[in-house]
Amino acid sequence: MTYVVAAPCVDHNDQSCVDVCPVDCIAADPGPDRKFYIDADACIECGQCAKVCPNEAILVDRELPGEWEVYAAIDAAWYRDPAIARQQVDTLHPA
Amino acid sequence: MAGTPVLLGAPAERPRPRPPLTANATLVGREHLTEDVQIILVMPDDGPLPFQPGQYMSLGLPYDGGWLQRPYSPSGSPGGVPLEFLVRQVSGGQLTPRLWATNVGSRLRIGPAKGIFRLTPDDRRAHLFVATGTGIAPIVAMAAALTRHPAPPPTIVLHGVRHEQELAYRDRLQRWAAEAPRFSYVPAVSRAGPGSSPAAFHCGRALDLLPEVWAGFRLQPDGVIAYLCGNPAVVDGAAEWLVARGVAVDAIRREEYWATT
Repeated sequence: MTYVVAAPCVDHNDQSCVDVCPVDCIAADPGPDRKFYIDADACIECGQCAKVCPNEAILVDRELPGEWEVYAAIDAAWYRDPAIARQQVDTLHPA
Repeated sequence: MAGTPVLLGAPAERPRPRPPLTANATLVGREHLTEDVQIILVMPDDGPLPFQPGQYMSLGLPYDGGWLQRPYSPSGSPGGVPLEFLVRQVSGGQLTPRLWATNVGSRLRIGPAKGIFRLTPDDRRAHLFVATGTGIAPIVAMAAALTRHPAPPPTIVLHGVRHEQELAYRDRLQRWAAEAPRFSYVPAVSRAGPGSSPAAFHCGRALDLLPEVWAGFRLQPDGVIAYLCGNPAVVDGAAEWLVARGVAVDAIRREEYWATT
């Protein structure tokens, strides 16, 4: 189980989640990223990020609605190859 | 709330991916309160870590090539070392059984302070703290800050535990109640055993004592700020009770200690 940053974060990215994550597992690269990404390998599932997100963008993976399930893969992809994750975000959210 | 655009911080300020984690502290002491609850003392390599009373830090042990981390709230005061954490061992948990088996002198990982469970500076309202179990840790840190305030607000600490031995920091809280102006400490034990001293605490659950505390201290809905920490069911119950009494939702701060493993 992990938490996932879903669609409402895109272009609205607040940093409240980063400020409360006890293990610093939420990140984004300056400039190119349009949302934040949660590292599933480091997430300890405390849920603090979900509580404070003003955009209600963060959900636990098993509770993602169908249209947002792809964001679990996008978050995971970012920690392997950020370019792939960004491309997927751009496809889902054309600028 | 959903869809509200919030944009804080320019892209250049966004955090970058994490650098590899390394050990940066040493376990320097421990005190067992019960078989499953202990206070551990952690000395950061670089001296005191900045934090605000009520915040938490991650504690980590090396595990499987990485780090096993969980958040804990320091109970001491900012600037003090070693840092003091109140920890309950979780049966079947990942970190705490290993922490129990870790010797003093072992190396640990400690993360930066995080969290928004904090005092509001110079808040004149009566401060009602309700804690259960190890949820007293951030409350003690916040209460300590209030005792140092030149004009402290009325402060009430209600701490509920199952067994008397789990009344962590009782000596400290009793001393503040005796010495600090406008400070009150209400310990509550739900399972007083044959060897306990019931004259020294209230028998019952914290949630059940809340109405008595409210009436006894003549609290008023618009004159209270409540800080709730511990068991999520108790936190929920206390918040519901306070709201029903007329306390505004934004005057209730809460920190739930979920069943971490």
